[in-house]
Amino acid sequence: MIPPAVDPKAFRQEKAWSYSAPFVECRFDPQGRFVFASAQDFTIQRWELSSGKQVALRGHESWVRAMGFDPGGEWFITGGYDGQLIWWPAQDPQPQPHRKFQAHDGWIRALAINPDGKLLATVGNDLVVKLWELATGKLLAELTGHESHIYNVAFHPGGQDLATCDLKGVIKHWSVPQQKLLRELKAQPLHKYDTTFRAHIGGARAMRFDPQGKFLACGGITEVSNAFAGVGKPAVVLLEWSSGKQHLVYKAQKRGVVWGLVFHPQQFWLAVSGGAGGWAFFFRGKQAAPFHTQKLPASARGLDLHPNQVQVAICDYARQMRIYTLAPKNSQT
Amino acid sequence: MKCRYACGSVEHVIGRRAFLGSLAGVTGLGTVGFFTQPAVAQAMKRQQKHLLVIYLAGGLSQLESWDPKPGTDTGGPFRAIKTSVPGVHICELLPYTAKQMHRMALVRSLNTRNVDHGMGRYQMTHGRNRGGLNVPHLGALTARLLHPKEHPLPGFIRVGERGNIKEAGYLGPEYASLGLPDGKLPPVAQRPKGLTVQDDLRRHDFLRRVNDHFLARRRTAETEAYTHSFEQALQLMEQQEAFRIEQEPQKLREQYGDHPFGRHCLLARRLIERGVTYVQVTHTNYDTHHENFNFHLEQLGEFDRTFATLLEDLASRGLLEHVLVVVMSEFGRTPRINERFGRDHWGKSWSIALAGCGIQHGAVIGKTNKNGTEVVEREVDHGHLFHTYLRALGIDSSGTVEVNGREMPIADPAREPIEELLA
Amino acid sequence: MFDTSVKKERVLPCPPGGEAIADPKLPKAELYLVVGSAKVRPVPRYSRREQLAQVVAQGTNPFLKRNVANRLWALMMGRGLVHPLDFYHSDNPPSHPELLELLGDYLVQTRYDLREFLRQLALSRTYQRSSTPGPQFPKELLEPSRFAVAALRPLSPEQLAWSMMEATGTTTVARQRVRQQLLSDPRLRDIVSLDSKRQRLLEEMVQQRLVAAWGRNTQVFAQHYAGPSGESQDQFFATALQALFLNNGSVIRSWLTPRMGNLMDRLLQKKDPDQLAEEMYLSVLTRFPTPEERQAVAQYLQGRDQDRQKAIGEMVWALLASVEFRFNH
Repeated sequence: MIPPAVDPKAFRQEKAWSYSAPFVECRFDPQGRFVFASAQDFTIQRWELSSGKQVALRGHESWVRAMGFDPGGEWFITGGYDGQLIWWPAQDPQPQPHRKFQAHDGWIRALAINPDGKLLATVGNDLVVKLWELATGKLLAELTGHESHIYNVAFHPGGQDLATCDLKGVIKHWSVPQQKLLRELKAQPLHKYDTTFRAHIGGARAMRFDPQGKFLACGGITEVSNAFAGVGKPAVVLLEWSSGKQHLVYKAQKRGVVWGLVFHPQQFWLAVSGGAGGWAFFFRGKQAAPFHTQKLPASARGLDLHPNQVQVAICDYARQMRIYTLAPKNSQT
Repeated sequence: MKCRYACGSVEHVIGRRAFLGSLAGVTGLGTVGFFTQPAVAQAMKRQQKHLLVIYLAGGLSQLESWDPKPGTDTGGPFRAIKTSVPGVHICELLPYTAKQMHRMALVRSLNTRNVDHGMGRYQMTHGRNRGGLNVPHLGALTARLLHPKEHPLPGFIRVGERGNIKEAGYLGPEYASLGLPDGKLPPVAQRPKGLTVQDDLRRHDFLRRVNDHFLARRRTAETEAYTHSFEQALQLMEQQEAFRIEQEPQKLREQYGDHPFGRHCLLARRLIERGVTYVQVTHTNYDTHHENFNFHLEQLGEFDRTFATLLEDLASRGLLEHVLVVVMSEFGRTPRINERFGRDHWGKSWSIALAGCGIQHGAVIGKTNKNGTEVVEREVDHGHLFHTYLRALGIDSSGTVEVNGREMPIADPAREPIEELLA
Repeated sequence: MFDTSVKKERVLPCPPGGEAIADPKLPKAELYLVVGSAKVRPVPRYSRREQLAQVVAQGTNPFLKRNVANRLWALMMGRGLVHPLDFYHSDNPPSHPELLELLGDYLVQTRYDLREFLRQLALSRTYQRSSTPGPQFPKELLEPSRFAVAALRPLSPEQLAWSMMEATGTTTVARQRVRQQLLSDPRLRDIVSLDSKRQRLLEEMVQQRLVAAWGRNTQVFAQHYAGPSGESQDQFFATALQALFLNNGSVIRSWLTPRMGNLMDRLLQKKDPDQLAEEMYLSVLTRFPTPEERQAVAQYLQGRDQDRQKAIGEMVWALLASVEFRFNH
C-alpha cells in the first residue's frame, strides 16, 4: 500500500460538529466510519463522517475518558468515572449497551485492547489493573501494586506486555501471559508534589506505544510551578522500551497539559494540549522542541488518528468535534 | 490569688442556672447524691463550650461536597450519595462523612458576595467585611468570652498555621492565637538542655520576690498582665503532654490518618478535651482552578475519613454536645467548569457544614437552584453564621464586649442568628 | 464586592475643611519636573499631596496640631490626652481638652519646633512626677488619664533588646572590641588623637558598627514584643510566648554566659555577696539594692558553691525578666 501523502504543516480543520456540552475524549472506529466523542453531560455522541449523522449513546452516569474498539470495529468499549464498563455495538444505527457492569471501585481512567482483540485491560482510582476477556466480559486477572491513581494503560504491539502509568509517573511493566510485574519505569518529568498546595500533580493523560513497540510515549504536564492554576508545560516523555530508560522529553514552550497523543506512521508524534487554549504539537526524532506548532480554537480534550492516516479528530472544551486533515494543500483526498 | 469560680461573670451565672434547670427537670435526684456521681462530676467540668473550626483553605467546592448537582451542566463527574439523614445527599467523595450526617447540619444558601481569598478568610472568621472597625477573629472573641482566665492552656490555638497577632483586633494580642504550624509546641516552649525544672522554678521564685519589691509601690493592669504572662508560660510548659498525640492508641491514630491533617485533628481533640476554647485546624488546599476533580478526590479523600473519625471520637467521649464543629472555607467554587477542568472562586451560592453543640442535627438550611448558580431559598451570609456560632455556644450574639471602657457589639448588629439552625 | 454599575460623579480633590482645588491642566510633556523611570523617582510639576501638606500645616486646621501634640505628649508621658492614639474622633474626647488646645496652639506658634516642644514637656511637672504614689495617695488619682502619677511605660521591643544587651555587658564588651579594631589602624589613631571632636567621631563609628552587628537582635525581640505591623504600637500586651522567649530562648542564654568583661564575668569575680548584689543591681536596674534585697541575694547564694555560676545566672535572669526592668518608671 502506498502511504498517503501527509504534510504536518498543512494541518487544518476540515469540518466541525457543535454539541451542547464540552467534550472529554474521542476516537475513530477502526473501520473509519464514525467518530465517537464523550461529553461532560455523560453521553457519548457518534457522528458518521460521511453524512454527519449524529446519535447519542446513553448509559454512563459520569464522564467517560476510557474508550476503545476490538480490531474489527464491531465493539466499542467504554469505561466511565462511574466505574462502569459498557460494550456497545459500534456499527448499530442506534447503539444500546450490550453488556454493562460495575468494573472498578471509583473512576475508570483508561482502557486498552490487545492487538489480537482478545483482552481488555482497565485501570482506575482503585489502584487495580484488571484484565478481561473481551468477548465475554469475564474477569481474568487483577494486578495490584500501584500506590496512586492509575491514569493510563497500553498494550505493547507484541501483545505480551502491558504498561500502566499512575499519578506519580510510576510505570509498571506487566507480563500478560504470566500476569505478573516484570519491572518498573519512571516518567519522572510528568509528576510533581506541589508543596504549596500539598497535592500531587502528574500522570500520563495520554499514553501510546509506537507501532514497532520501540518507544512508550506518555503525555502530560511538566515543570509545574503552580499545580492549582495549571502553570506548567505540555510534555511527552519518550521511554525506550527495551532499556526502560528515558529517551527524550518532548516539550513545548506553552502552558497546558497534553490530553491526546498519536504516532503517525510517517515517523512523527502529534500531541494536543488544553488548559490555556488549545495547541497541536508535532514532534520528530531527537528534537525536543516541536518541529511544528499550531494554535487550536479551544482547549483540546481528546485526539485520534483516522485509519486513513490523514484525518485527525480533536474534541474540545468549546463543545466542538473537529475533524482536521494532514493532506497537503492542493492535493486530492 | 484571684477567685476562679465565684466571679459572678455573666457566663458563669448562665451556666449555673442552666445546670440547675437541667437538674430539676431531668434527674429528680437529690443534690448531694448528684454531685457524688463521677460521671456527673465529669459533665460538670464540661459546662465549658468549645468551637472547633476545620478550615479548608483555598475554597472547597460546594458541588464536590455539601451541595452536589449531579447530571447538570455544572455537576461534574461525581455522583451524590445517601447520608444517615433520609433525603439528604452529599457528594460521593464523602462516604464516611455521609454516615455522620445525623450529627451535622448543612447551610446551602451562603452568598458572601466576595471572590477574594483574603476578604473571604476575614469574612468567615470575623463575621463582617474587612474595613472600618478592627473586629476580632472568632477565635479571639470566644477565647475572651468563654476561656477561663486561669486556664493553663491558651484559649485560641491554630493547628497547621502560624499565629497572627493582628487577628485579635481591638481585644489586644493577649487573645491572639498560639500557632502550631507543624502541630507541635514551638521550640521556645521547651526548656533548653541544662535548665532543669527545679532550676527554673527556683529562679521564678526569685523573680517573684524581685517583683514584689516593685509592685508594693506600684501595681497596674499592665504589670499584672506582665507577671501573669510568666505564670502562663510556666503552666504551658507543664502541658507538653496535651500536645503528645503519640500517647493515643495506635488504632485511633490510624483511623485519624497518618498525614498532617489527621494528626492535627487528633491534636485538636486532645486540646479541646483539655479545655482549649477555640481550635482551628487548617487543611490545605482546595484552590482548584486546575483539575478541580482530581484535586478534590485527593484532598477530600484525606479529609473525609479523618473528619468522620473526629466526629465519632468526639461523640463517643461525650464531647460533641459541648463542641461546635464548623467546616468552612473562604468561599465556594464556580458552578461553571473551566477549560482546565477547574473551578474558580465563587461567593454567590455556596455551603458550609456544622456539627455538634447547639445546632439542629440533620438540618439543611437554604437551597440553591437546579445547577447551583443561585440561592433560591433562605439566603444568608457570614454575618448570620457568626451570630449562629455564638448562639450555639450559648452566647447572646446581640451583646457587647468591653474594650478600653467602651462596649463593642460582638457581632454585626445588622445581622441575626439563623434561628431554625439552632437546637 | 463593589457595585460597578453605579456611575460616580467626578469629585474634585478637597483638603479637610477647605475648598476644592481643581487640578491644573498641563500638557503631557510638562507633567513632570523629573520624569520617572525604573530607577528614578518621578517628581510631578503639580502635586495634590503638596497642596494637602500646605493646607494642613497652616494652623487653621485644628486636627493636625492637636494630633501632633497628642502623639508627642504620649511619647513623653506614656499615654495620650486622646487615648488610644488612633481613636481620634468625637466619641473619644481628650481627657484634658484645654491642655490639648494649648499644646496645639503652642506647636503652631513655634512653627512646629518639635525639639522645643519636647523640651517644654520634659520640664513640666507632669513629666517629672514620680511613678510611685505615696501611701496616702487618693485612689481615684491613680486613674491613668489623670496624669497624677507618672505612667509605667513599657520599653519598646528595640529598647528592651538594647537595654538587655547593655545590662548584661554584652554591648560593653562588643564596643571595646570594635574600638580596638578601629584603632588598630594607625591613621585613624592619629586622627582621633587630634581633638575631642574627632574623638566623638570615633564613638559614632563605634556605635554604627555596633548597631550593624547587634541590631538583628532587636528584630528577634520585635517578633515577640511588637504589636501588629502597620498599626500604632501604643497598646501594651504580655503573652506566654514572650515569657517563654525570655525563659528558654537562646539569645538571652548567650548573654548570660560569662565572657571576658561582661556582667556574668564581673559578677563571678565578686566573692562577697554584698558586693555582688551591688554590682548586679547597679548594672541591671541602675540602682543600689535595698538591705532586704542584699539579704535575698546572699540567701540565694547559700549552699550554691558547687554551681555558683548557675545561681548568679538565675538571679540576673530574674532581674532582666522583672517588672522593674520591663517598664520605664
